[in-house]
Amino acid sequence: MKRYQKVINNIDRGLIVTVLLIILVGLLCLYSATRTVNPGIFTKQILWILLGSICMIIFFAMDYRILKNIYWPLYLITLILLVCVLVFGRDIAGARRWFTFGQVSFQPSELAKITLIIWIASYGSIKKGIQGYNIRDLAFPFLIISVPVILILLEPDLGTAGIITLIATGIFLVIGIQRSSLIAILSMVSVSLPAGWLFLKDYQRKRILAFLDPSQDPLGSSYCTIQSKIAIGSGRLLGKGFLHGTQTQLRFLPEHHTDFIFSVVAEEWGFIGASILVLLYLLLITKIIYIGIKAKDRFGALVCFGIAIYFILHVFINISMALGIMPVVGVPLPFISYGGSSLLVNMMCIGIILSISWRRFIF
Amino acid sequence: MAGRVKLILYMLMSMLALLGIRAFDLQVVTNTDLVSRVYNRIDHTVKLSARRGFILDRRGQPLAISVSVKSIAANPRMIRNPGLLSRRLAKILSLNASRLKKRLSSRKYFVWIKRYATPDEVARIDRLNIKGISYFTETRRFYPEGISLANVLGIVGIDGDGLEGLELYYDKVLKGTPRYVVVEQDGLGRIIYARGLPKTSAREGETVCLTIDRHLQYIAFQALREAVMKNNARSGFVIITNPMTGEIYAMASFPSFNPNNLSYTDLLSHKNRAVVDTFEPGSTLKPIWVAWGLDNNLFNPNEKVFCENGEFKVHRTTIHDHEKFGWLTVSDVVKHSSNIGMVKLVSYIEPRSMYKCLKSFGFGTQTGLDFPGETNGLVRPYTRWTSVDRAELAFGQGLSVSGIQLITAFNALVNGGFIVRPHLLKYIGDAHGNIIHTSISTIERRVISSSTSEKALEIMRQVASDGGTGEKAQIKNYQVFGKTGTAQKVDPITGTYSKNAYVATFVGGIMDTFGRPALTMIVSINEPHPYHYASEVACPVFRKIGHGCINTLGLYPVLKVARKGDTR
Repeated sequence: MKRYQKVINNIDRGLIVTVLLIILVGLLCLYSATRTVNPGIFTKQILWILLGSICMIIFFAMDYRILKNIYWPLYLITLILLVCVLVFGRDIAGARRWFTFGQVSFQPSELAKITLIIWIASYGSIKKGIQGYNIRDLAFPFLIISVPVILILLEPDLGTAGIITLIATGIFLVIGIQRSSLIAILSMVSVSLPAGWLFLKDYQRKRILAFLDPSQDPLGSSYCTIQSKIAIGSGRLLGKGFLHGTQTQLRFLPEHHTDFIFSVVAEEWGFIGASILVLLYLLLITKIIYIGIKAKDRFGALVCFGIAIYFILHVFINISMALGIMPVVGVPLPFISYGGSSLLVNMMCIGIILSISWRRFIF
Repeated sequence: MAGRVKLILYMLMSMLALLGIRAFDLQVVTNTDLVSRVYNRIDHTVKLSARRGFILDRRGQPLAISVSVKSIAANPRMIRNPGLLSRRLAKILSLNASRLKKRLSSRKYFVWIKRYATPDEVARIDRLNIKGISYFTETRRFYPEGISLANVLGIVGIDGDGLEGLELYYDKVLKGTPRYVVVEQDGLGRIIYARGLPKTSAREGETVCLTIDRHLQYIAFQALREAVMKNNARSGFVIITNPMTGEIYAMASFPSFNPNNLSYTDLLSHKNRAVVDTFEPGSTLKPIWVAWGLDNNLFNPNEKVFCENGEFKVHRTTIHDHEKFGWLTVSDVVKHSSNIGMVKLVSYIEPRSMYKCLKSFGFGTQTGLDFPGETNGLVRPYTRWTSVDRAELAFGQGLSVSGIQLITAFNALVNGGFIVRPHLLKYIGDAHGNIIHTSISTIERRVISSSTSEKALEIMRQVASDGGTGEKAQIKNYQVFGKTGTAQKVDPITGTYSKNAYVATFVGGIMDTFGRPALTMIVSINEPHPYHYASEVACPVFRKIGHGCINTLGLYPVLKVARKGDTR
């Protein structure tokens, strides 16, 4: 009994409470955003949360160090899934990103985010650079990461591909890169960036142009951004109140249950509500980083930092997009945007973090 | 590594701070614009137009009504088999099947199939139960009298504003006051709910009842049309009035248009020529001069003038009569319409007095008829008249008048000497049938004494007697009076009087059983060919319409004094 008590005590309850609070905010917003249009979404999201919790518990119970040993199989499974989705995936609005099983759909690129974090963490914990990595050390991981990134680009899903690239870059920056190599890489990237424009799809180019000048096409590409800004701006300090956001309830705001859910928060709960949500995320991310700092092994620490970067990028990009300071890319707001795959992966991440946090007391 | 991790933390903080600043800026600092944009977007004012009032004739028969009509539309994207469907629809709606097929095969989301379909057509299409077909209720102005009264009633535009004629003149009355309702709309523009009706209640359009008698109107229009066609004329008009009250029983103008099937190609046909066009009155002015002379004791009806056997020189201009006359009484000068006799009679009247006569009979100023766009006509000031001008004025050339002016002046001759303001409005009623305004006949002024009026009436009775120029206006068993006028038109190119363009006019009336004028009428035919004399062109029209008036108004023939030996 006493031993059991100790297990409970060592769980990072603060992290769980933070996550639960964020999920609660998310559910309220989702209810508000979908109750008139598609009330089924709310129940589905609750089922996903339950499923995610089970996932979280499994990953918490499992020793995270197992992941370090199976990072190659995980990587291969991810690649297979990404190839399969290109072949068998359901075509929705010109993109093949989902496996659909009846009512349920699953997005393998979401899974790819976490498996690549695990792969990089494992690689980083095995191959240590004393003064950081140089270009030669990075060549192999670059190759490894670029395969799934290219597969995701083929779907096409520019947002996810970009996020994965940024996460990977972030982790390697934490691990450390030699200054000369860093300069070389940066200059290579800045040269190749304009070339990337040529590979963009029409709608992607339009979104970026619309971001640069929203007034140019107010009913087309920049409609989302403008509507989102109106929603957020009209929320004022205290918001219009739960279920009283006109932009949301009257469907001026598209995608308000997925990519633009932050606008719902800001419209109905105002600046105060939106700030509280952002502070919750800040709390969550700092907690994860501290768990990483305190982790007993390099792998655990790198996984924590990777996941922290993962959350930082998602929260920042999603909210910036809603606020109109970044172009519209399909990046979900963790724990809040509707979407099973993303939620499942997020809960999985929390499970791994809890596992890392808890196991530092064991050895 | 720890240092770099701290770097991440700081970066995270600054990123979130950036978001916070941006959100604070949007939400707390400069958000009035964004807030107002939200409400501009969802709050819309919807105008609920009041039903446009009806226009009725003097007996309460509808002349203009607003009806709800269904229009049929389709969403071509929902149409499965445009070929088959268009054939079926075309058969029911009597449309062109191939053109309809083209429209139904388009990539649009909305096309009209037929505007203003009949209830029967709607029912038959509804029975087919086709997906993608929808119906819209629209309000349409309908004119039961069609072409015959179109110039008077005018038209209503697509958004319910009166644009011409009485629809324009009484637009405010007919339109009522619309209500404005604030509604909220969703992102797709659908109305979610209205915030309740405003406190000010809508006023339905009011009913305008006219002095027009639709039977007389019909008779007048048909006779006019027939006359214009038969005489190859350009145009024409007829006005029938009650000389005592100034009520207008009928006002027809030709060419006209079909107000129920508007096309804006020929706007000239929209003119109400009786009110907006001017012409030179010609000999119809003669009884006015005579009455003025009699009233001022310048001559008496039996005084004789020498008519110079048909040719008379005034300065370098020779004046002709249509027949050679010798000595004629004043009465006979009018009866035979001698220009020379008239010139001599008018020479008794001072130019200043002549001018006063024309002005007091209402020439050169609007009559005050309740109709938009009435013309003033033209009377030049007497100080600028030459002796030839004076001579020509004697037989009604050298001034221009409108039909409504001429009949108003003529009414004063026969009604005891009063200029009575002509009017088309009988009363205005509200939506519940209560009369809220009745128009009262207005006497503008007295111009001649009643005894002079009686004399003038007797002289004009002679015109319509055997041997008079108005012989052909006679109606058996009824006393008819009037005056013909065949005026030369000015050729717009040469600026002189044309040799073959005339206006043939007859102004006249019918007496009731007791010898009082029951109605007066002006018939004017513009540029008739080949016959141009009013006696040939206008008088028969007067007689024809007069017959109709007698039946419609129920006029009794003149009383006959029984003589011994009369069979029953």
